[in-house]
Amino acid sequence: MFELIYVEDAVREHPRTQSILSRYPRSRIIPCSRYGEVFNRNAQDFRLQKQRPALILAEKHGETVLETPRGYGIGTDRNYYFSHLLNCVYDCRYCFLQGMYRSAHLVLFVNYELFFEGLEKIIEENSGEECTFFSGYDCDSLALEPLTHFAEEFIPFFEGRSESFLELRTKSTKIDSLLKREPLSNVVIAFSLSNEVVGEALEEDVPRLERRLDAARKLQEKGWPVGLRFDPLIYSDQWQQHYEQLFEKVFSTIRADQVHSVSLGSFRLPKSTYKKLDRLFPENPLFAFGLEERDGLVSYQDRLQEELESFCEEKILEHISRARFFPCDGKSRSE
Amino acid sequence: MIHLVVALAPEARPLIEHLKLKVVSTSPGYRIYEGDGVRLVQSGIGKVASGGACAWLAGWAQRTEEDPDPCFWLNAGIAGRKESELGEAFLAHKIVDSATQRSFYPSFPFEIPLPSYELLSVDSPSENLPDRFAVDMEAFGFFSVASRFQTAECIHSLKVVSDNAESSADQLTPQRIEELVQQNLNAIDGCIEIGREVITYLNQRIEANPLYHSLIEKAHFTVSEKRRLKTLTRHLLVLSPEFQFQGEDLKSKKIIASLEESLASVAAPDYAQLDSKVG
Repeated sequence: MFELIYVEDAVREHPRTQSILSRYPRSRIIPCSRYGEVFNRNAQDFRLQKQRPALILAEKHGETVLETPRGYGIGTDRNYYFSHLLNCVYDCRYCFLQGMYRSAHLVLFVNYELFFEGLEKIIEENSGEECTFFSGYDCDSLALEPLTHFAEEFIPFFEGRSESFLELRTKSTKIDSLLKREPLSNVVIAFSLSNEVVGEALEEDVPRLERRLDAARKLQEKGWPVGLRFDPLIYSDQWQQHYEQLFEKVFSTIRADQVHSVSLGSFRLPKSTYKKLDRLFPENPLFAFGLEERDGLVSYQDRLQEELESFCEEKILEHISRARFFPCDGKSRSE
Repeated sequence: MIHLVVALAPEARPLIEHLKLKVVSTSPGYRIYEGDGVRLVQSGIGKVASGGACAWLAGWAQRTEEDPDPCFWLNAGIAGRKESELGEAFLAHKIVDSATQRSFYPSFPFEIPLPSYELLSVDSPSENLPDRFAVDMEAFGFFSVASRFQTAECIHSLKVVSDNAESSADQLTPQRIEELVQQNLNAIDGCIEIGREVITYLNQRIEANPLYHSLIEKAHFTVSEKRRLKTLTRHLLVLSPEFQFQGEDLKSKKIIASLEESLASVAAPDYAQLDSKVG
């Protein structure tokens, strides 16, 4: 439930706006000219806002599909991302989104049509070459599905475009729309997974590991390609034990031989984002332990990172072939 | 601290009495009242007066308090609204300046306890109330200046409807204004209580760093060294709350190097023991 919904004047009559507003008859609707008036304003307290974020319905302008940073991919050379939604309903302490925007409100761009045009243009430019589009870069792809119908509307676009892949990255279990339709081999549902101790301490309002794995299993059974994203790996007391338990649980619940792809990366943030988060959460050990800056990115010291990643890689490769394994090269950011 | 900004004496009087506020500053400019974590300033009419009063109050607080708490700013007063019943209390969820059409959006990290409307701040009284908007003469000035000192979550405008489609503003008397505020003291109390909760939350986030305060006295630190010292000591205390610095007569660089060494040898955090998810 959103108590406050800001609506840009330009999309007030958009059918998607109308449909969303009809779901929240008791919300207070506040008109605004441009979402930036609310979202980008100075003097906002992200942590306070995160307690009760509002929804902002807005119109996207300009470029909708952008290239991902180098090293962000699951097998194709050309990788792009697009964001119909800014910010996330979940509250994960390690997530760069907390330092990305001044506001914790969620901005939903309701003019999906412009995103379709953007996707179409990139696909044409790549003329038949394989490329992957990531939708869960600035948000969780499925967490607001009952409200946004994002997957329901975007998946059909990828039907018959076998050279183009869509990754829906999520921690959500809102998979009803996916279970109701026939799967596509070029749409990957990728679940972000943390070990349970980290999940319990650093992920708030997020479905527990069992529920996420259960959702992944159901999707696999239905025939959807399912990806696993162990990113970020967090160094902690008894981390080996925690990650061993995680991998055991994952690969005893879902079929390793049917997993589309696995990626992995240790905790890392752009320096400026790290500084914001360390200021925002000064009491959290996540931002205090074992980090150093390298090339504008703050991540674990070499030794810790190497230990973490090689241990987890070894464990994962007991279940998954190397061809389906995509370690992050450390140049992009944690999600 | 709650900072109440009200325009008129008949708006201020019931609040001063109800909250048992005492005069704490009578210096030329604005009179300031205070009691039990609440400060009140009476601004006079208009955006400029209201903004001026905010600046005055913030400046006064900074001069008189050694370590000022976060503040919750509340502008309380009367407003007209065509569609509302007389005496209805509401909060502003959007404040528009009639002269420039610029807008502010107060942010609500709490359940909104009252109806909320768009509020238009005008420069001079008008008999014609617009559709949908409530109308006052201060909120935009109040918000413009208060937001220099505090974030939008802590700045709100609570108004009581004094005139509507049936009853025009020119029928208002000081006594009637006082009655309207008097009738809504519960609503104002409710907002003050919310403000206190927000302040408590903000205060919990202010880092206590005794290690920094003890070390800063031990040597001369440059500005960048002070910054580094603050971060290092905070990180050390987060990871090892019992940590104590050993060493005497050290130069600033040595202290920092020693802290860096200590931080490098601290054990990895046990997230299973993390106190609160909020952190």
